Amino acid sequence: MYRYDEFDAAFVRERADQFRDQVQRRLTGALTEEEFRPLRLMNGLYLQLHAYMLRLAIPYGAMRGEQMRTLAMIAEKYDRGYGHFTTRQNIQFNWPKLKDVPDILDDLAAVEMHAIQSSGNCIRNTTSDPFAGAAPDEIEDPRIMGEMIRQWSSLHPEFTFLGRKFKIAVSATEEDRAAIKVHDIGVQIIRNEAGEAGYKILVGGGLGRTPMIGKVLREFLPKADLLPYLEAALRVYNLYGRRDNKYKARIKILVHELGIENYAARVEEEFAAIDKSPALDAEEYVRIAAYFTPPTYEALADDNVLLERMKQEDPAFAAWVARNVHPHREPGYAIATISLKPIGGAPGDATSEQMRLMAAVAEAHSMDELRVTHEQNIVLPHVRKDALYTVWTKLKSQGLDAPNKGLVTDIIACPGLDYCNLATARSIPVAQNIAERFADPALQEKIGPLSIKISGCINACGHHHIGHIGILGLDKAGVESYQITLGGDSTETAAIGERVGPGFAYEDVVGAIETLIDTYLERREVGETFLQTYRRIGMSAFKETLYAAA
Amino acid sequence: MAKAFIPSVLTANHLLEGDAVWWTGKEWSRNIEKAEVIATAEDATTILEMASTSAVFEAEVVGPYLVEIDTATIAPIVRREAIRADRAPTFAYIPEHDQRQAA
Repeated sequence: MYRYDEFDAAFVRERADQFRDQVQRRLTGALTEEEFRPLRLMNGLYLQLHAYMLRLAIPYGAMRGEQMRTLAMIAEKYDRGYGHFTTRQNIQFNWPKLKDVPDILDDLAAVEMHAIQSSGNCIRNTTSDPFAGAAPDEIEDPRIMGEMIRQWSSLHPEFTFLGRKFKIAVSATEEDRAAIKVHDIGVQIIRNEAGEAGYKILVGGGLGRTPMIGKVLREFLPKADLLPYLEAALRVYNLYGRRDNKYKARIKILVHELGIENYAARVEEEFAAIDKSPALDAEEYVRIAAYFTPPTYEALADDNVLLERMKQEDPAFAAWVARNVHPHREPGYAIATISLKPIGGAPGDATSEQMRLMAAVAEAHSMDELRVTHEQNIVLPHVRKDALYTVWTKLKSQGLDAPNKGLVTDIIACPGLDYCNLATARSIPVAQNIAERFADPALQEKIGPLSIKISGCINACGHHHIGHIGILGLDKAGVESYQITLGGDSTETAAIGERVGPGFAYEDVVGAIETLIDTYLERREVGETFLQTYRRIGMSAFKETLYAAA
Repeated sequence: MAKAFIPSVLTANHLLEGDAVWWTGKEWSRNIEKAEVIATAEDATTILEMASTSAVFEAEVVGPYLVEIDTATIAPIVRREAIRADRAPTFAYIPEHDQRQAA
């Protein structure tokens, strides 16, 4: 993992000191709220429905145990004993007090964490594949690139006051586990025909009120050109992007209005003329890459007798392995997903106790590494197969053993109207109600892979556009109304969901979802997932049953 | 024809603590039932202007605004404000085992 050098450590400490001073000046009246607000937002501090909300950056979702333990301490000491892991691989605390935030930032700085650029019109946290460094199908570890981009984008003097927020995601596999096609810029590590590793650059993806799938900006970019090329792409956006209308200020609107060819031509022109000095030289690349040297694995056989025996003896463990454990590049190891979607829980939430347990498990059984996923779960990337039963038993002690990765109860939900100032409807209770309806493990297995994503407003922080079933909560004349979309996809076959029809009242949403799933179960062919059935039979069959039942 | 003024209360977020507070006429309270009811549009304009420009208010609270209420119950009409007045999410947001420990 990347470890701060002296420069990084000093920078984060100084930033924390700076914010302490800014808070003090706000409290004495030396700064008005109008002056203070952009400063606190630059440090990830929002004001929400019930309290301040502090969003911390977790670069490309990667943490070590000590950091997770610090998050647990912060939740306990300064908040109400829990935190919320987000769709951008960050964590949010819902109840901090302004007077405590400087101390929180100091505590974070001590473990190489911060809240810088987790808000505001700047380049936000770069997200990545939660299986990075462990996946058998990756060309190289995308965290190296993620770290390069993080360093380049931190306090970038030209891009600190963009027209709007800017989100970058990186991956290194054909299977897209980072949703790169719905980011402002998506970067995929690929090989060209000569076998050289380089980058495919996508631009103009996004969700929100105008969802779009990203378009290819450059089919193959040599590795050395990444930072100057991103610089060119951002500069063109900064120059030509709209600033007259907040809802038309994302890069996706610029790309849409110019056309990808026109936008690409401007980027290439800028790139040709640009100062290439931000380019990462080979030495610096090697320096950064060294932080992501694979851990030292033991030489193990891939088949593990203990694992197979415990699966036979404990069906609940077997179910968890089947759903939540994924192949690792190293024989004898596995990648394990910890579900933060227990039935009846708030998706993505974890208590201090749970965080401490996850930290301890990571330290003991995952080379001290954890990853936050954009689906609001946690990944242990390097678990010995013969330790999986021990890991599962420990997770079970804190209710972290839900065997539902990718199933109907693995729901993504934004905080919604229960927390968020922007929200128009509740999202978490809807998720809880759906999960409770489909709680039966046998039913979940019968339904198979199904991604439900719920947003409490049109800003789509719950990623509803890319859910196989998406649910958008709106306010219609003071009454919550939930629109349903079908056919969204966050992977390499990315698609924006299509709206089924008129919305449903809060109390009718679960029934509507049940009708849709029943339709799928009736119409599917052998082995088809929900998404496959939808793509084969189309919308009309679902619309017919949904509104016949309504 | 102008929309009739709906009685309202003045609310904001506490600067230091961040939580929702309501103006009683003399001070800020964490209980909406103690809020001063603003009955006319003129009074609303006056209080809002004062809240937005007063250094005293700025030293205590952030983002004051008016919330329309049902005068019989002093409960907000709009769901968002009702959730805010309850000062907590609508679901059991602290996991059960933590609630037991807190009890």
